[in-house]
Amino acid sequence: MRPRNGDVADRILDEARKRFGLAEVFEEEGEELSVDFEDNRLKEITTQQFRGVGLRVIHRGRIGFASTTDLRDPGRLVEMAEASAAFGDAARFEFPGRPAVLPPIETFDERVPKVSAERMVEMGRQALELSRRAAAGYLFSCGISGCAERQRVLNTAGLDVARESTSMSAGVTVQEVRDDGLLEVHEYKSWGGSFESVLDLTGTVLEKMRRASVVVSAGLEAMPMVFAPKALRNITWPIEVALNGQHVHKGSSVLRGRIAQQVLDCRITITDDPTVPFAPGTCAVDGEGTPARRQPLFEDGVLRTYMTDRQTAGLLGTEPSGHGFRNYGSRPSPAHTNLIIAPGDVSYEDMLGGIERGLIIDQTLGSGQSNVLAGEFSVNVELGFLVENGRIAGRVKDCMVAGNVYDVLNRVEAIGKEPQWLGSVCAPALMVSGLKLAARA
Amino acid sequence: MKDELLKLCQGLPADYAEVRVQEGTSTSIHYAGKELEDIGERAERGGCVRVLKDGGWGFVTFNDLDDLGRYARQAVRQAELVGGDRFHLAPVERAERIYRTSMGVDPADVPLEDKQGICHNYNQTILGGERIQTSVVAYRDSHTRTFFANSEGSYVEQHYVFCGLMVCAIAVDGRNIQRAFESIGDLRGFEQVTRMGEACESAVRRAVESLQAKPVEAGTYTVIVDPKLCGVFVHEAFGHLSESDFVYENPRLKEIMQIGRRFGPDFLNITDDGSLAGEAGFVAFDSEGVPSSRAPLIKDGVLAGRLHNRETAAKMGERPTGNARAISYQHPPIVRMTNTFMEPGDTPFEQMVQGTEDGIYAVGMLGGQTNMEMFTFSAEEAYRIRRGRIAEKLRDVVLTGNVFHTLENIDRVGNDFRMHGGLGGCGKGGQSPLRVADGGPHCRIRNVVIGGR
Repeated sequence: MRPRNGDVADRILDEARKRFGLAEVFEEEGEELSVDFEDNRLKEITTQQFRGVGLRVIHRGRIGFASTTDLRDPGRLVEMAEASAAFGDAARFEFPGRPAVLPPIETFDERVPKVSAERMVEMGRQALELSRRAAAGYLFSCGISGCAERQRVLNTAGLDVARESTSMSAGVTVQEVRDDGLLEVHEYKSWGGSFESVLDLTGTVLEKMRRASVVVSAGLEAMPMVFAPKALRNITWPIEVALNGQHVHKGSSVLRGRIAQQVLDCRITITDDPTVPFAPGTCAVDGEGTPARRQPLFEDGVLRTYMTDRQTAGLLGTEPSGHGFRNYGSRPSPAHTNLIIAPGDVSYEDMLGGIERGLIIDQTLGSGQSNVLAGEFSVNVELGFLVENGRIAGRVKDCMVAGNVYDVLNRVEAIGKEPQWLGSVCAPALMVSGLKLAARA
Repeated sequence: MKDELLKLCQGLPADYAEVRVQEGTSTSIHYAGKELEDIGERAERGGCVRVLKDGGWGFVTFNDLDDLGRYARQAVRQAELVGGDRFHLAPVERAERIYRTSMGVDPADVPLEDKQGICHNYNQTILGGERIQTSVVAYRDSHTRTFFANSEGSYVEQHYVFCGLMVCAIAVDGRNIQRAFESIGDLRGFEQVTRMGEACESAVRRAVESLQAKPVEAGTYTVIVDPKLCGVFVHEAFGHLSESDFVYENPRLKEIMQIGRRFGPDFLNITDDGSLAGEAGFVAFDSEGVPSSRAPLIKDGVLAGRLHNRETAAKMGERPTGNARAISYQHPPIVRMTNTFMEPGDTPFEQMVQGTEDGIYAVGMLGGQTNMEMFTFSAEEAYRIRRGRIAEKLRDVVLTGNVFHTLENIDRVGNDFRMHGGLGGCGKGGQSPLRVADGGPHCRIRNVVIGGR
């Protein structure tokens, strides 16, 4: 990708250096092409060109920050940062210099920017055809996009690192309106490298539509539950909130003071891994130049580390963990790179085979509306299947499942051996006991 | 600006073209515990061109405004590639307006120091509460100026000033962590954020009380919702279903959503009104240059109308309602709600509680979501109702329902009313948050499924 801004970032840094001494510029620039199919027809093609700059300074020991997408007057950005620094918190970190060694990472697939709108339209049409052949009443929607971007961070300590990356994403949704309501199944993929087809997603969606064609009822009952990777991702994200060093520092994390303690079932290992080629969160350094590295968050259920940016690490008195991520309009704050929940050794089929009466939870609705800090979840089972004697009996609807994620991850019955990437999270299926289904009896 | 934008749209080889340019600044202040994690200004400038040609849409967004012609030609090429069956947008009157929100004190006239001082005081109030572990105080104001022109010769310039504040008290007892919130946010100006002192004290009190609350038991309950939660209920349980882009090309849903179909009891009325000046969801003109309007969605229990953009209105043979909204220049306008509310009825709240033998009183909201069949909405706080009295406090109350059936289960509508905006907003189609307001009276709903232990 050709940088369109020339040396704007350098000029801003120079001006900020003169004014404050200590400064950092984060610049983001890119282009995304997407095609959208809606309700069985191609609807829209979109191009988004974006660029923006964030300026963080340390002025008289205090942090200031400002951002803009209006690069006509860089001087204004410097003034805004100064105004911010007049009130900002005391800086508890230093801007890092250039790392001695930058590990080679794979984030840019040169084929992605070459995937044309025509090619994306073709992929969508093939998938639409597959959906039409499955059932005339299905309404197919699909978005396919390709993005190339460049993020650059430079500071007055000599750091100047750019991450050039590509990503291709696709989401497929098939909907059917039935007498008893409306069924919608969706699948999604996103990866740094290019792909040639969305028939894989579409096939999965259509298979689930078929399985959901029979609706069965369930009452208020406790039963073993299998969280499919998508659902597991939806109920486990409160753990990421609790691993966030900011919450640890403020005492609003339930994981505070529990490093080296057994928190989860000993079969649960969760790793943060920025080295996976072309995974969405792969990077050599984080958004403020701290080297990123593979590290366990939970190892055999034992809490190993919190996620911190430099300021948060300074407040906690620890070394920064390389989790300071941001976009041009925000300061760095703790976030994962690629979060990998280690798979187990049970196949999905064997998992279901062992269930006398239980529930598979595939899609959930309403995650994040509970007391996330405490790890609570309470979700509508948007797509769930009742399992009887090892076989899927049909879809269960209009019901809820609630629990606490720390409790659930201590009631593990089995861990699937077929993990799935969901954006920057890779998760297997997980079977747990002791949860209660709430349905209208 | 005006002549340049109009000329650009009118010179394109397309059935319809529009351009939007947006400029603005926002100020934010964010305390989390003792730390002032963010304070300062952000500036934004960008634009977009949207083109309709032979039934296909092309849309291009950009931050670099130097060569609008190039983006416009690219949008035409993209629309040509989409193609399809040619159609015309529903006709609207050519608009020519410069609109500026009227308000009390413009936050731009308040020094950053004063804003910080107010937030600091609120934060101290919360942190000073007994058993309070930490806090959040988030302030935001934004000035947004949009310039809109289309190939039909409409030109609309709009300037909105949003201002709001959210506070959160977090109480901790061992591993028991409980939160309580208060928020305000709309287009009325700065004054209201100066009146949140009592709200901070209330948040402290309620967070601490929640430490003693018991998790709700899973089951089916009779639920009384307060006006704030009623607003979210209306938004999720019905509002989204009335957005025509879900319906206009969905033959089965069109059959179900026939005007005149009964959805609820005679005393149920639901309305969306984008023309309520000052409310968080107010727009004078939507992002297609169409004036906002009052749209009855449910009248006397039956479906009375729906929300449209110019495409859905044309394809369904109805009138545009001014509900095509884009959260920014980076997105195309899609059909959205504005200020959505249940109209008040005649039951006093006390009478509603007294008439409830066994149920739950659910207050405030943490959020809501729908997939157009089922919806969830989450109460910030809840109490058990036993024998007509409000009893012990409960926690973790998330409610679910079915959009096609739950409205039938409303059996009492209160005689009070409140609208609520706030700092958050609505999300749809990757566009979030969109400023909206929701509201209603207290109301009682039978047979609500609640997840629990």
